Parts: sequence; structure tokens; C-alpha cells
Amino acid sequence: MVTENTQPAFTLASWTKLAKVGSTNAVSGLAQMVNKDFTITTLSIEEVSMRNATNLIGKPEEMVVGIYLLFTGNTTGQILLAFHPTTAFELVDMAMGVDSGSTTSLGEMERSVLGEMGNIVGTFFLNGVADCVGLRLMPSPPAVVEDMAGALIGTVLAEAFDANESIFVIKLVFSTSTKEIEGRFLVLPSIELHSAAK
Amino acid sequence: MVVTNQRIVHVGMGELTITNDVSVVLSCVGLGSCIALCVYDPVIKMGGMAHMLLPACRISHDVGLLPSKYINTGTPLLIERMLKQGSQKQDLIVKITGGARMLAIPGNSQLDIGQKNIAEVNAALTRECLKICNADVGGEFGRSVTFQVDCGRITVKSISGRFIDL
Repeated sequence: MVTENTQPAFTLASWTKLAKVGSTNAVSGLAQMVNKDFTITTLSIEEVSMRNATNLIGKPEEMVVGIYLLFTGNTTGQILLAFHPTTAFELVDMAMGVDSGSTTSLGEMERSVLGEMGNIVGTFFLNGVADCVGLRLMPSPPAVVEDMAGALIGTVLAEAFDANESIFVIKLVFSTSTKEIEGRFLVLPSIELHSAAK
Repeated sequence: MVVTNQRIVHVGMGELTITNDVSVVLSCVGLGSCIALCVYDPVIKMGGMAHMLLPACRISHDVGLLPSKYINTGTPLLIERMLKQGSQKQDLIVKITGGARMLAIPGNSQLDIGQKNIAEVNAALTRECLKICNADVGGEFGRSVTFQVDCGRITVKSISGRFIDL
């Protein structure tokens, strides 16, 4: 989903570089957690307007599982990982080393596993970006949510759209040797990180 | 009155729509911390809906092309537009929904935009000398709302199957 690109090309190029470094790190962290090899099959950077944002992580009334973190330090921002519930269950199975299909709902333990997954992916992503731009970036504890995609994304984006009419979104699809796992990985940086990326 | 061929008009984030087309069903889908303000004039059968994200503009710039993004500007704008189309304030029926707390991170109150939105829409409507007839707000779950302009029926549902006629 791509809207018209209103940003200068060099900003998008800078973000592409940061996104590649951060995403590669993030997927590496996830792979370590679930003890599986992942490869990135699709990585895209998109500029999204408010009008198109509600469909970012799925149809607005679809159920999604979201793992949300804030990051602070030299600058601030938000990270959201979003998966279809069956994908989230699959990831929990992998992390817990149980047979695929074992997890069918999110109880306290499963939420804890997903939260930790978000924590690791977020930390690895931020470490990669921080090394590139020379900033110190630290993730908050994660929040795990299972609800309507539109409700989750609207809440996450509300403050981002206060300062901007559009935002950059990293979309990541990654796979194991036997299975493709699609997740949406959104990074919403503050103005300072935008500036540092230039 | 039986209305055939109803059509759904989605009111997206930061948008505001008013209509006197009785075949229209106004809809906000996936409300988290956002507020859907629904105003109905049963006399001339006009409905207005605003999908508002934040209490007020915090950054000193123009509210720009989307004043309905903010509750403090979107609320009077919706009322003003309905009055311009022939509504009388004393006839307006006002209902609100949304304002959930979707995200909870310990020690971070900035994520409770939902509560701030609820407080601001109450204040904004008070400034307009309007009372809220009914509300389904707060909680920790997302909502969708539909608003039938032919009869003023407003229905709120959540993904758990919770279903309320407001």
C-alpha cells in the first residue's frame, strides 16, 4: 500500500538504509528466540497518510495480535509488531518448542512469550538503528493486545498524526525454510529521529 | 419507514460527515482511543458523525486540512455544519462512543489518550450547550459504530460480540 511520496528522495533513502539494518537485526533476534532460521522475503518502506492508515495491519474490523513498545533515550518513538492471530499462535509454538497447532488462544503465558518476542525484536531493531545514527535508544516493557486492527492502529497512530500528516512504515515479511510468516513491523519515530536519519 | 438500498458511508480517522440522505448508514470502524461523535436531528432527518483522534492540537500550527482530527475543533465544526444545513440546536440528539485504553504500559499515562478524549468531548459539548443523551465509552476494547440516518439508530459493537443500541 503506497501513497504518493511527498518526502524528498534522500529522506526515504536514508530511512531505507536504517530500516534494512534494523530489520535484519530484528529478524536475527527473533530467530535466536525461536531457534529457527528466518529470512526476510519482503522489506518495504512506505509513506502512509492518515486516510490509508486504518488498513495498515489488516482490515479495520479484523482481529489482530499486536505487540507494542515505546522507545526512549536520546529520542523517542513507537514500535508495533502485528500478526494475524494464527500467526501469533504459530510464533508462540516455535518459541515454546511445542508442536505447531498447540497454541489456540492467548493466555497469560502465551502473552508473556509474545511480549518477550516483541521486546527482543524491538531491542535488536533499535540497537541496529542506534549504531547507525549514534543515538541511545531503549525500549519500554511491551504491551500485548488482541483486538480490532483499526482500533489498535488508530490508538498507536493518533499522536503520530498530530505532528505529521503522513508517517513512514516498515513492512516486513519473513519466512522459515518451511513456512512464510507475515507480520507488520511498524516504526513511528519522533521528529528527532527523522532528522538524525537525514 | 422502510428504506431500501441502504449504503454505508465510512467516516475515517480525522473525518467528519453530515448527511440528510436517509439511505445512508454512517460508520466508524475500529475505534480505539478515538471518539465517534454522533449527532442526529430527527426533525429534518439529518445525521452527523465525526471520527476524532486527539483532545486538542498541541503543536502551534494551523489545524490544517483536518480540524476534525481534534475534539476541541471537530465538535463545534460538526454542530456548526448541521446548523448551517437547517438544524436547530434544541432538536439535536448527541451520542458518543470510543475512548478506550487499548495499550497499557506501566508508568506511562500518555497512552491513556482515550480518557483525555472522553473528558474533552464532554467539555466541548458543554461549551456548545449540548447534553450527551447516551454514551458507550472507555474500557479496554475496540469498537465499531453504525448510525442509520433514516431513524437515528446507533449501534456499537466490539470484536467479542458485545452489541449495544446506544
